Amino acid sequence: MNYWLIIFAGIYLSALIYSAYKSKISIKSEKDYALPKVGVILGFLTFSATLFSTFTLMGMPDFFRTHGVGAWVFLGVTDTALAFVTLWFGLSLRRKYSKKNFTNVSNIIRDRYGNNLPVYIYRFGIFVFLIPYVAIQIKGIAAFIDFSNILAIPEWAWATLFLVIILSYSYVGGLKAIIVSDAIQGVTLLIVTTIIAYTCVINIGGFESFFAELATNKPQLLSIPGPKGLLTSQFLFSSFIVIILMPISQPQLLTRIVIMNSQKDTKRMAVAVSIFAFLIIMPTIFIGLYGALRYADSSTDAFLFNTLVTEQHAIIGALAIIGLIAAAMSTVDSQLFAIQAEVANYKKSKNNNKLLIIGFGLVALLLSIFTTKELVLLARVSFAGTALLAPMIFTAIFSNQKHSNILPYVTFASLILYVLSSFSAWIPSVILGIRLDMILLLVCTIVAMLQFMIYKSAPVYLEETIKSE
Amino acid sequence: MKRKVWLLCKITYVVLILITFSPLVLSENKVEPPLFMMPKVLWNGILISLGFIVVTLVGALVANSEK
Repeated sequence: MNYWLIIFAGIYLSALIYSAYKSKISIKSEKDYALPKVGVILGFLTFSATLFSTFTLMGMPDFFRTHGVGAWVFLGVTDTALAFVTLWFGLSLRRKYSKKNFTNVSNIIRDRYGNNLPVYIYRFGIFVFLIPYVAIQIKGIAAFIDFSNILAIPEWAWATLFLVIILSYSYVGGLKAIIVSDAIQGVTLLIVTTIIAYTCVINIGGFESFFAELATNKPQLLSIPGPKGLLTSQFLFSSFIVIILMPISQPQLLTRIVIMNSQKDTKRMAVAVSIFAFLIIMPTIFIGLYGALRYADSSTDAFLFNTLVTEQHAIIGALAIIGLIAAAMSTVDSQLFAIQAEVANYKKSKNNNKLLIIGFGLVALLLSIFTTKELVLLARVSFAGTALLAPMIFTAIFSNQKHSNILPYVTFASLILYVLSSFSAWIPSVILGIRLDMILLLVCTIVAMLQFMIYKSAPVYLEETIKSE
Repeated sequence: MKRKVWLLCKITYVVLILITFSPLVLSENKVEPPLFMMPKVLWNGILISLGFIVVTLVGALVANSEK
């Protein structure tokens, strides 16, 4: 397998270097670096690859293995529903903003609220919830590669190596280079997961034997809430809400809607994302449930390494490792770039802005060394945290009036409460039987609606030009 | 006509969400009735996902994209 691994790693690295170089020579301005235009194929692949990170191929099989078929509702149903939000929100967004008048979400917020405080709250939100998400991607893939024992180097060294590669091509080629790496990842992941899932089903003796064996040996996996009782209706509903809001709340996805060539391409991209989501999550059901039957008591790394690599043909095993590395890298690069774009000052030298991505990368690397590996659940905390920003962003984008800071204050209080409830016992995560993240999101939404109604009669805020800092 | 179909897509989208989180799909500890050996929540969930794909497809065909 090492032979194939070297070949695929070489091809992947060459593709990254080539795309970074090609992107660099096409960059004429800061806008080309941060907001290149893309067509439907690259558009849907980059959107999907950013959405489906390492946790799709590593986290979701483990989620199915532990919690059973209800995990399909957690992500399969949710991500196909997210595609419709992408269409609905995307078309409305692009009626107001295109590449010409869009720099970043921070500037839209600053214009609508007329001061910097909401911008700092927004940046606080994305920093607090996206940096840990970046960290768990790096941690997840570094731990997996360390477990596979390809080279006798420690986990932190793998994490550093991946980050150096990511920062190098992001720094040189900007968003266009990242988009090309996303496309490579998307295609690789789809092929690999499909083949591995097919192998898993065949290994058990076919589709019907697969579910018959589960019914006999692991019946709790075949219904909700699953063996550990996690997948309750409320957990699934609250997860659904926070995940479908991601195109609004997460800047790396919102930016990918804005940079589409045309409205027509935006529509096609949304349809392609829905189909891609279905096709890429479906195989993880079988990989995960196979793990429940054959590796029920193994560690996550042992289950994944054996199922994705050892049991596969050498070519598929090697491709799986490269696919996993590519998945982690494409999510990390997109999120680091999005965070950098939100704090970049376009009046200053672009080299200063580029250095920001290195700074954020180093913070994520340090965090990855100390974080845990519960990919899916930590990812969910990140989704819920950023979802709290959605009403504020939505108001900023779609309201034509200037707003007061009431909603930003409520959003900030909600973010603080959610952070405290997620990482300490001071604040309960469930109040009167309802999850705190749902209560907080509802409060933010109600305040946003009230602001819309109150300011509806106010004079229209005419200044549509997006100012940079 | 396209406006009406787009409105219908939005309504269908909301209805699909309501069905997903109703006991019709999410009934605890219930495996029956199976379809091709798949447990209820799984095949129901797959059908709902296909529903979302169709709504997105139809929506993309009829949604007004004028600036």
